[in-house]
Amino acid sequence: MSKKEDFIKLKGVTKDYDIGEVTIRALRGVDLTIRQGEFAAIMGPSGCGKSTLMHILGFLARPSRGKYIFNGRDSSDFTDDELAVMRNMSIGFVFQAFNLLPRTSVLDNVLLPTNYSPNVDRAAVKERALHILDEVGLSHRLENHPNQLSGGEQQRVSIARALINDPSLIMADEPTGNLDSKATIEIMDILTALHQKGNTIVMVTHEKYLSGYCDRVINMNDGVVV
Amino acid sequence: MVWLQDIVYAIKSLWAVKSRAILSTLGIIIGVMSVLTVASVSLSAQDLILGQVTSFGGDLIGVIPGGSQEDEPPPIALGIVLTTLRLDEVDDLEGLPGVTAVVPYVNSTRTVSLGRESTVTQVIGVNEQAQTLEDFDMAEGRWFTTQDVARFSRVAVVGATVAENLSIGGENILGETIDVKGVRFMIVGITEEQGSAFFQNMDDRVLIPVTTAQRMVAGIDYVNFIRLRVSEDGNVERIKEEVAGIIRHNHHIQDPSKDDFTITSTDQAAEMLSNVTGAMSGFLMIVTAIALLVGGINIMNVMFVSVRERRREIGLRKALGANSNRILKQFLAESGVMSFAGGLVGVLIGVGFSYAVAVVVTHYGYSWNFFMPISYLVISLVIAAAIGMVSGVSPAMSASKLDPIEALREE
Repeated sequence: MSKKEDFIKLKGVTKDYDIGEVTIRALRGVDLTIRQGEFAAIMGPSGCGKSTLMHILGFLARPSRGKYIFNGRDSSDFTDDELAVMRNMSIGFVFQAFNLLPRTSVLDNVLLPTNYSPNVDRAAVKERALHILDEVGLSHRLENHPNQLSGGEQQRVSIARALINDPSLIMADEPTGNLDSKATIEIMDILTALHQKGNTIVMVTHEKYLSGYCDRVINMNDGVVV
Repeated sequence: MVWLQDIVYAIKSLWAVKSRAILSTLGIIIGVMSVLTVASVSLSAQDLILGQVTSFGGDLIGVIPGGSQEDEPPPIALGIVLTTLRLDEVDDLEGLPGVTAVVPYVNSTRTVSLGRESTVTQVIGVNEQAQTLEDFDMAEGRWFTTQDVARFSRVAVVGATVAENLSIGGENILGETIDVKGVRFMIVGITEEQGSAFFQNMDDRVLIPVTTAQRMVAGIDYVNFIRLRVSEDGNVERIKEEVAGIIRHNHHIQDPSKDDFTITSTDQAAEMLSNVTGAMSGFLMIVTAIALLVGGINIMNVMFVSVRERRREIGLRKALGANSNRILKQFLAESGVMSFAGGLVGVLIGVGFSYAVAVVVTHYGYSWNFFMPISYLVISLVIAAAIGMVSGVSPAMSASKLDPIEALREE
């Protein structure tokens, strides 16, 4: 286990996308350190590369150049399957559009990541899912389908899903982008509570006032951290 | 175990789109159903045909007039009546070792009447050895004697159907006198019900001595054909050669290629018939297998649509930790489950349909046995599932290769 200070370390990370004959440089050398237990907001105008940075932090994409060290491990030479294991066990994703499976119960949605986890104790994860759903206040909604829930409730399900494998890092991509102000406060309160319990959270947002919940703001522009 | 889990999830996600899943398996259902039905009906038909040919039991040899040039139609098809087989040739064949019965046949279709009742039926002239050859039992009365044949007796043995048709109010007609073409015959016996043999109803006929038949009913001096029954230890091929030799001698033929008669055996007929039915059922199987193939293509089509529609779901699953292999398996399991289920339904319908065919055909009086070997069921299920998996490979590959970022971005 690495020290708290360099839990996540990016060194000179670039990301190029080839679109036909044009190469788009989404990241132009990002150096970044995130400490364990930090609640960081990534902000910046659209097209600044914050989504790309998010994808790299969440092991959905590999850096074109540079180093990404996660919890002391250099991820540069991870295979696709190893990346999948990282996404499954170490990262908890919360999406703007919730991305819940339709026609599938709340409980099964929360359990979805465990389908892809090695050596799962079914009874234990179910117990854990019930516990988490209770914590986010949805224990009365276990058998409902997502379309029967409000936006705020759906996002709470997706937070519960992100927590099911006890990840080292929670990645929230505009988690309140599709919510009204009341639900936004609800969700931010839950994230704050998770932060206070010691979880590391990285949130992408372009709402300035939400950065007030965070203890650090990372501003990006034109593919670099400013 | 991971596979089992995948199958459970596949069933769940197919259940979510029930009506589409059912529609897409229709091709497999129809394919499996028709393959099984064709297979079962072919087996039954083959059994029926062989049963007809071998229904007298043991080996029979038949002598029919006319040569057997393969590139010419048989003379009977051209309306030519051949008169070359004579009654006295039966005597020449009787002494042959290994032969237990020799029977000449003189066939004609006549109106037979008893009082005011009458029926149109086959009036067949045979000798006293016909009972041994055809192996039937008498329900009532007696069978012909050698004297009946030698003395041109006007006696008749009738089949069960004829007896029923001629009797008034179920009265016993044994000892009554029937009229055939103005000649009166006394009914001395009634045969047991026999069903059909060689596709002829053995109960709807009147048997009379062959001598009487020639002179008084048919008005001919030849016989239509001769049958010989070979004893159990008799050598059919050798006897056929000997029979051919005797008839050639009688007919003054030196060159066997100029034979004016043809000798067949039940073996031969059975083999030929099973070749024909085998070829028929093979052809039908190929046609129905095409239906199965179309069913597979249908599933491939639906799986492509399904992958296209569920790109977001695939992206999500990947983001949550599914590797390409798991996505591949998920879609293979779905197409496999779909076509296996279709196969199962197809098997049920196929078995039911073949059974219904058996019931209907039996109802019309044929001894149609229902065949459905377990191996056929197992093979059709395995093939159905395999077709689904193969059809699913290409769509599943395309699903597993999706980039999660791209897939999640789609609306």
